[in-house]
Amino acid sequence: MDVDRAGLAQFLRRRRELLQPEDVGLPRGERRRTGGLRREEVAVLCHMSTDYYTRLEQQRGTQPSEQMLASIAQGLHLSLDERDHLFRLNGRHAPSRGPGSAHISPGLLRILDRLHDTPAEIVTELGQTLRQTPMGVALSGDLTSFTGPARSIGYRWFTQPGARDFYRSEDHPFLTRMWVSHLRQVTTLRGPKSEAAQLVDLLKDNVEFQETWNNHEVGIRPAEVKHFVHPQVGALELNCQTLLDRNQLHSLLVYTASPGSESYEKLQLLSVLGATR
Amino acid sequence: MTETSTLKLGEFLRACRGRVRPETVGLPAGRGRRVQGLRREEVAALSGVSVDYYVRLEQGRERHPSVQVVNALANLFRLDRNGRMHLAQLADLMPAIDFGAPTEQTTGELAALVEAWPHTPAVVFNEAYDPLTENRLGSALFSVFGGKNLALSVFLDPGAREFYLDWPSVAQDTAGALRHSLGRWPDSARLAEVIRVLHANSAEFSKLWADVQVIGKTRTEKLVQHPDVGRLELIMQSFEVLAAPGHEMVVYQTPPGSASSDRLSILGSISMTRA
Repeated sequence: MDVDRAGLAQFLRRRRELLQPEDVGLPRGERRRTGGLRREEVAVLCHMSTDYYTRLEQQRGTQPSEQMLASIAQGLHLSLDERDHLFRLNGRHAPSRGPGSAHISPGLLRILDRLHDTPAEIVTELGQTLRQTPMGVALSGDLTSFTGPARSIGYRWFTQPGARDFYRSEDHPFLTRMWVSHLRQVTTLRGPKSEAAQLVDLLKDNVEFQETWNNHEVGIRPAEVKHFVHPQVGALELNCQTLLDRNQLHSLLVYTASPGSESYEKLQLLSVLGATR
Repeated sequence: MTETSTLKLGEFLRACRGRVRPETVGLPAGRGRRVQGLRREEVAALSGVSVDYYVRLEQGRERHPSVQVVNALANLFRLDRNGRMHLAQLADLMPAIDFGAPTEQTTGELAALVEAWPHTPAVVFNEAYDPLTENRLGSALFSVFGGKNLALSVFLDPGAREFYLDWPSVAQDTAGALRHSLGRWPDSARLAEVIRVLHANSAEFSKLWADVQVIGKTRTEKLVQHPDVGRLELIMQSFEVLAAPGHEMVVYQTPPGSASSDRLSILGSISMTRA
């Protein structure tokens, strides 16, 4: 497939102009001349340098990788059709849709961005964190930068030293059963060639995983009240609501504390400390 | 059905059987039980199938248990919704399956949840579209209905036809949503009640019910004429609340930078001064 540099440049510029500051949680400000976002702002949203983004809009520079394109699609709040169009302009096949899709719909994204001072994240059915609110990052650290199978918390749970530190130790056995039960359900649902089945395969030499897997437990729900151990503020007791977006099978996880509780105070403190982890 | 999935159904049943404590299903715990959990004969007796049939299920020789058998086994094994879905999946039955009873009460946590969006209307509905909890903007948005059941309001409240600028399509969506909900929660008394009242009082509802397509009530756009701020263009996004089966949280957004957005902010200020 051919690359349409002029088409790409026009598409990016038009989408940027259509994006409103409110879309992405920025103040409109008085000195803003046009309705759209500035290049610097979009570059930040797309996780790239202003220079790189500017060159794309000016038909200069190198061809972006698929990862870059996915990042642009998310940063510009594109719908699935628009994302596919962006890929084709760059001479690439559109990524697959369906349950494994890592692309968040613009509506869901705005709902996340409008969560006020609340820790929240959007996760896939395999426990891959796609996006967090700033308070979400302050709570659990940046969970979006893992790559490969480690993007899934269930995989990190069994393979990465320290992956469990954030969870209260008495909950570890339950969480082990929960991840495995969940993975078994998704594997059955998505079939032997799915990403879930690949994770199971990667974990087959892990003794703890294998023993739990052989118990065939399914249907273990996540507890609504979660206990975390934060490196700075210590023990936290938070209510976690899991909201399932049926359109794309992404879940929105929202963490709240009862007003007046110790955890509530600690969350306030975290919002002051910010994402310093 | 493939060889492997047949095997998995048997394995899964065996694992479930091993986890049921006899005393929870009214059997004596009994010393001298050799097996963990229930015996095959007990499962057969309690779920109303023959021992021979159940044994063949576990061995993977019987491949197509009926919905009734799957439901009976799911009940006996005390499976929750996820467990039921898994079993139904293995039995190639999805989606004609009983999801268990919807949750009755809303919790304080759900109230805290909708408050997390101070600038966006958010409402949690049950399976019959009774609003259970809402944030301030949510109740300001639907103030014309005064917190009453949304499906009943759409058809029976005369104000609904002024409120919804495209009432016929809202009516159709509502009937479709109720039908969809009934498919999922066939035993909900409240849902049956709402549908009965609608049939008794609205010929338009009965007509739609007779020929409506089943539609899940997911993301849609709605135009409303709000008594305080005027015309609002709303984009709805619905979520299933995982912890509370049957509950649905709906968030209403406006197109960014639009006149509707400004009007929604005004509604927010008005509701603040009234509170």
